[in-house]
Amino acid sequence: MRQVSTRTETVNAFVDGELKGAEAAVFLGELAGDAALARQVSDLTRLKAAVQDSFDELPCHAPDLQELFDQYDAGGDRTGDRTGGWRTAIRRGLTGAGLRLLAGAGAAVAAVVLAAIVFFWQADGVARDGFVAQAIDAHHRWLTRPLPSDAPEGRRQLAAFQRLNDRIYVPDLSASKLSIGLVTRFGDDGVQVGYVGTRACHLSLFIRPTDTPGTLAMSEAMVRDSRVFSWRENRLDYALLAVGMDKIRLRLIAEDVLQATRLMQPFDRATQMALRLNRQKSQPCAA
Amino acid sequence: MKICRREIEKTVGPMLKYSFALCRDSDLACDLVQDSIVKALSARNLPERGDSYKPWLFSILRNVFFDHLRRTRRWSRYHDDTPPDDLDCATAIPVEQSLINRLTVRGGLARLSGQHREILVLIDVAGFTYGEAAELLEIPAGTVMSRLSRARQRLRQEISSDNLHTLDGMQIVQARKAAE
Repeated sequence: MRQVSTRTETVNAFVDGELKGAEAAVFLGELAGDAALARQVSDLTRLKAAVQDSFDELPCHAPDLQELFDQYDAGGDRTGDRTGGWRTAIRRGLTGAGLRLLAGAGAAVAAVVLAAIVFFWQADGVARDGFVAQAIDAHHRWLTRPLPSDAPEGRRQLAAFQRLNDRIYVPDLSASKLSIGLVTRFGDDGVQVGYVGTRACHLSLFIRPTDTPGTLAMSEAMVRDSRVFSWRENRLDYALLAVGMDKIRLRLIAEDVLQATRLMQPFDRATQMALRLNRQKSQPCAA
Repeated sequence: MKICRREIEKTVGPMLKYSFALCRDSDLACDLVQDSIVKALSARNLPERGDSYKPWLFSILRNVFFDHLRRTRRWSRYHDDTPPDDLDCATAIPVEQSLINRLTVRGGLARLSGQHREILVLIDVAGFTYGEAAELLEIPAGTVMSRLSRARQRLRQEISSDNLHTLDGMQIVQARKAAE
């Protein structure tokens, strides 16, 4: 690995105002008689300004600090914070206030349990209405009656489909050596995108619009011989599945596809590298 | 000792930018900052001086982000995504003013490793000194300097490699070719 020269580091330090006293004076002296150095300083200064400028806007609305402060105030004086409060109550032998605290905690636990039940009920929602079952059937139909792999044609079909629904984002999985080999209608208003690998892998991504708002976390299930990942994002239900694919590889792909569909952006370089390396380590597909 | 709310208010903007640089997801960035402030509000040990708030809050945010990475099993990816250091640092790549526009830089930053993006945002956007960054990242100040140099070199390279695209309706000649 090549080292960045200490000279370059010094120039950076100058641009960042980190050179002090004698060091700065020496550098300024060199700068006066060295046009290349002056250019380097100018470049770095502009780069620094450009980085600052690129973050000019906040990425999202700042959290409502007043609300957070109010919640904090409602929680009591900070000299007796929550942990201290509990400890004090226990030390006092569960006085009336302590018992009320305990009752409150019990109610909170019950609420959490109830929320968890509701969450898992909802999390299974993508599967509940038959979406996943239909997706598995469609994937098996593709496996048993494979269409000729025609990636350019597939991409054209996909582009046409995306024009109809601009919320749909279909990631490019070429980093994992999977290319689009099939794009076809799924149900009334969904789409099946079939990816084909070079080692007998077939992976299907199903996307279907839904009227149900909200987000469902990704769930993983083994249904018959298919490993299925399903989630809901931006009023779209997704299912990603394959038969006989290395489960770690499929899980990684599913996580990345989830992220890409959430951000509506292609994979960054690090993700592509991770997919590539993971694919190299993975076994060929068994199906 | 009461928490200094004004210091939190002052720091929340840079925290959001840093958070976004770490996770590259605007919704998540906001959530991470909110979680960090909640943690800060319930902290037992508070900074004694106002100027210690920024590094303290950033440190909480960084921990919250890494907790998130661990929960989502993406921890190793953050650490493994440093691109190979194959830069020839003796060759200065001139950066034309016209190339340095917001979109290009954003794109270049997005393609950097997490560590490189983080150091750039800490120094250039959040205004950390090298010493403060070293303390936050728990690395020697010399490592901050070399990492920052590499990050800037890499960013310039990324910007240059983007130059074949049309930007703002203008066909831009690849800077590296111009340099040759």
